[in-house]
Amino acid sequence: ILRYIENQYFFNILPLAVSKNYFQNREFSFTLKDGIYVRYQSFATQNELEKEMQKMVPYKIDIGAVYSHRPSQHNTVKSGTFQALEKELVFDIDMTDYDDVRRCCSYTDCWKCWTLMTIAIRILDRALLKDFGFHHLLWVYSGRRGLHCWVCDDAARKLSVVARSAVAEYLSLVKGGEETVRKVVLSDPIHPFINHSLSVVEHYFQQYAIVDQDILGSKESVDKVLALLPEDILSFPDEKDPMKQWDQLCDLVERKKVKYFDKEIMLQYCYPRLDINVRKGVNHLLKSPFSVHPKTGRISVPIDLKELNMFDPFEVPTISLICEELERPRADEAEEDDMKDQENEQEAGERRRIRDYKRTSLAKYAKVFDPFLEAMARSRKGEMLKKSDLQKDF
Amino acid sequence: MQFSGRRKKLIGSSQNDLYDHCLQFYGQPPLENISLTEFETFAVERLKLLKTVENLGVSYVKNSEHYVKKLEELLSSPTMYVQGGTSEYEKRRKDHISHFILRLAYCQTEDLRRWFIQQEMDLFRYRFGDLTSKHKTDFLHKNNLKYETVSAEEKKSLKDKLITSSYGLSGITVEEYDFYKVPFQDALDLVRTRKVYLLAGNAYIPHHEIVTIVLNDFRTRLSKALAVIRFFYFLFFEEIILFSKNALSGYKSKSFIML
Repeated sequence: ILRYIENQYFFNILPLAVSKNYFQNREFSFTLKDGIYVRYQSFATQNELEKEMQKMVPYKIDIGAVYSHRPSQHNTVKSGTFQALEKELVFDIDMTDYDDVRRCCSYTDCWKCWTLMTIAIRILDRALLKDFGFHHLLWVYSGRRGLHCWVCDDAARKLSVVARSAVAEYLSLVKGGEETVRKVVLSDPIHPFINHSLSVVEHYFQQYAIVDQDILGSKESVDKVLALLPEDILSFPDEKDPMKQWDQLCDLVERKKVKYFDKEIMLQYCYPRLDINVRKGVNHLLKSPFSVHPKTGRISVPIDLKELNMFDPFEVPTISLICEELERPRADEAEEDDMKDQENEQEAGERRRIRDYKRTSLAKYAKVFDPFLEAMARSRKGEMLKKSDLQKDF
Repeated sequence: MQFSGRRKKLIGSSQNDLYDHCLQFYGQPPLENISLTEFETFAVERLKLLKTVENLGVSYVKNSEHYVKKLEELLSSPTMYVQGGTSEYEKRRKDHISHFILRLAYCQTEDLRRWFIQQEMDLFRYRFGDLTSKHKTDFLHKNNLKYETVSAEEKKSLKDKLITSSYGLSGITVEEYDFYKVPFQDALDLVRTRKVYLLAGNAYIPHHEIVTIVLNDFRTRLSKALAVIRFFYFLFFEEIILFSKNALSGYKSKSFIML
């Protein structure tokens, strides 16, 4: 069964890895049965990777950086010269980072907090595309309660550690750990980025925070909100309806001219919290898209931003579902036999694999993935044409 | 007659090539021979200049109106080396050579290096700020800092965003000030603290901030260069420095006493 999965995975994900230049110097890591973690895997060709996958049957595959030498040979290289050259810019967003502002669930999944992920995508996607000018972004569901964002532009891959950290800082508004009560502080002038983010948060806040999360629903949670307000506001306006309570609070804030406290509260409850990992720099490995989450069995599928509001993590296919779908008899076996005569064994095998994953629920996610790959391939062609043009000029 | 005429022409054009801008990053060391007298004079005068810059920085708030005015006065006074009836070419040549001589003198210890870099930066900041808008852009382009100024129309359409993203800007200043489009990777400090407007991967830097970026570049280059000279110091320059020590020992300065 796992073998099928490897094949599907291989076929889906490999184009991504290959189009990320210098395949031979790309580091992969395998997590094997019993949790054994193997780093510095590298392969000369796609076939090699496939063979190794079939041999070792990894439960999880992570993708790392492109190095100066083949990672599998890093021990033979003079120390200091083996270096990471390029790595996609990645962001890791996890629901656990929002634990201090959620009340709906802790270790289980629920639908009430997924809005936070939607908000995160809307804010960060816009900023990465419009502010930073990146083009090739892939948002991937992590399999359980989080997201990964892969920024695959050339410019992103070449960013230094300092630059990555600067990008992450620019995108961070919620700061401070357990000891910090007030984690968002706004002051004049409000930067356009913050304004954009606020408009997204404001769009979702009422439904998400007041209704779903019910942040004004119990004394405990009300106290938490009050803790974020200036000391002279000791209690919430007397009102049964929490929506009205919130509105009245906003009015109060405006009347007292205490600036941005209501906006700070909204941001503290909703603004995306980026995992610190992005600051770890170029050596860090991130789980590959289309891998299987060990606890839920769900596949890390790309998210279609056009249908973002309808994305439901509970509807993402699990590995068992895919296996089931693959077990079903093929409808077009006759066609297949005809084709067999015309092609050699390897090509036939590949075609079978293509048809295979298209028969499963993964097909719709492949439809998100393919355009992303095509766009990257197009831009790479464009770059190479530009380069060869420049070289022709004397 | 013909022969000397031709020679004059050649010298003229190479002069233009060598010093095509009044300001430079001092990337290339001077390649000519100079007399010992020139060597002495250039070094002493630049040192005087840097000491003046230092003193001004103590008496006035740096970059304040007073500071700039005073510096302008002092630099245009006839005793200062920058003027003195020489041609533009001579001035630039002197600037170039004297800077490099002082590098030799000031590369030795951390304190010396720090002092030298600080004064050179302050001087550079003043001189860069004094350039016209066109000359500033020229300088940037000649030094591979390919930053374009933002057009008036674009500034107008982005006016509100520019005002809210940078400190101390109003509608008027946005119209009057130059803004530069800098790839965000070259303006990380401003990006990190969100003190600049970002669009399509470019940071829109107001004039007074571009100086910071250029200065950072200046400091980095000078720092590296001093480290390199320091490394080769004992191999090649001891004789020269011994000479400088003798020639300059008359000039009272704490820095030179260390030599």
